[in-house]
Amino acid sequence: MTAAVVVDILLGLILVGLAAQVAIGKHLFRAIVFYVAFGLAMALIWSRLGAPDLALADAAIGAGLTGALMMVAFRQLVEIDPKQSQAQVTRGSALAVVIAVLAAGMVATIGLTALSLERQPGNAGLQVLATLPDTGLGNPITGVLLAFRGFDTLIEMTVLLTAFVGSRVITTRSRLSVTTISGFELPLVRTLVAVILPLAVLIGMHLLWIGSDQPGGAFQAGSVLAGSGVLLLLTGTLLPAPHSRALVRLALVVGVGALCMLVLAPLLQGKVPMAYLGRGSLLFAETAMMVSIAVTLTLLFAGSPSLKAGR
Amino acid sequence: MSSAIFVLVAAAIFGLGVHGLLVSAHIMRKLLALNLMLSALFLLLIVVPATIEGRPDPVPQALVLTGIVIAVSTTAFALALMVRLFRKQGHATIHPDIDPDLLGRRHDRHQPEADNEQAP
Repeated sequence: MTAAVVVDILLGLILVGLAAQVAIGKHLFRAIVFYVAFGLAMALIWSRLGAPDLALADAAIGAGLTGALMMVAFRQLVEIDPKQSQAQVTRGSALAVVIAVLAAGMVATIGLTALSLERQPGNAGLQVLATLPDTGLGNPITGVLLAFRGFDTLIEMTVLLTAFVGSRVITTRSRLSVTTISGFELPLVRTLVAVILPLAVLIGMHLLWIGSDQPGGAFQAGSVLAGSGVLLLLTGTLLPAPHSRALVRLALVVGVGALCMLVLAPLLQGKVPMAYLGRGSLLFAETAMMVSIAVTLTLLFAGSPSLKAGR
Repeated sequence: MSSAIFVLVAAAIFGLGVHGLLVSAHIMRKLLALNLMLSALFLLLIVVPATIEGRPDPVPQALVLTGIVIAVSTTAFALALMVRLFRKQGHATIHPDIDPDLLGRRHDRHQPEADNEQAP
């Protein structure tokens, strides 16, 4: 048994242990905290598997933003009904255990059977790597997302926009006061923001810029920026605002708009829709997507249609 | 070897997610369980295909990246739905066999919001 296998087993045990805490732990809040830890362990496993793009995305979105959204929703429930934090109607059930074991067995059987077959590299993956030099890109994942399967990415951005519009429609009372820590007058908070914010913006821009050639890209950059948006909301530097503004609406749709332009622009040159137009067009689309992702996720956290400057 | 380990890990997490989805009454716990199942499938999707030049296949990687963003969008929407349901009903659970009297009493305590009370 080599050291690598030991590391894999340890990582796997950590992940399963954290998942068990999320799924069958007693308190809801604890489950949310463990979910954040689960996301970070997942990011470790992605980097162990040689998928740094996924590690970045899972650390920022899967662990960070999903956890933040869950906590803010939990906070709302507690504000409406303080007993919510204790109220747990989780009952054990022998039938559920049997079904869960069967489901796990099914997944294990499918996975292990697929592994036991003679594994050929996927044809699509090989073609991506073979065609990638023609596009001038260095990161095959950015290539798949924007050069080869751009329509998927367009639909994905549409889903993000739809989810935001949907949650605006069903949220009757805008939360105009995100719980901030500014009331405590902690002297170090503003310094912390002053240090972290420029670094976060720098990291976001770096991830966007290198995304064409190295791990990174619009999703990772957008979620890092959304993370700093959450930080600004929590420290009261940004506050939710009740009325949507034109600039915010533009930021929300610019990602979908840029991808639509990526679809339509080749038609002007007599090519097929979504034909590859070079690195410049991708950087343009990725910048727009980064802005949309960052603004949409920040507003989903704020639970409001717009933002305004705080103290 | 390490692929087989991660397949078993994914299976265990999927099973835990299914169990959590079935036994928990609270909607947020169901959402957490669904997210666990999703993570297990992402892991399976990356581990099972053959690696190319020692790295996972880029096509499933891009699919999973898309999936992560879709997951956070749908989770945010579901959480907004849950908060709305909670305001309306006074409980955030899906439990067909919960005592209706109990629900009724909770319902009275939390006045359901009037429909004309809309956001500005």
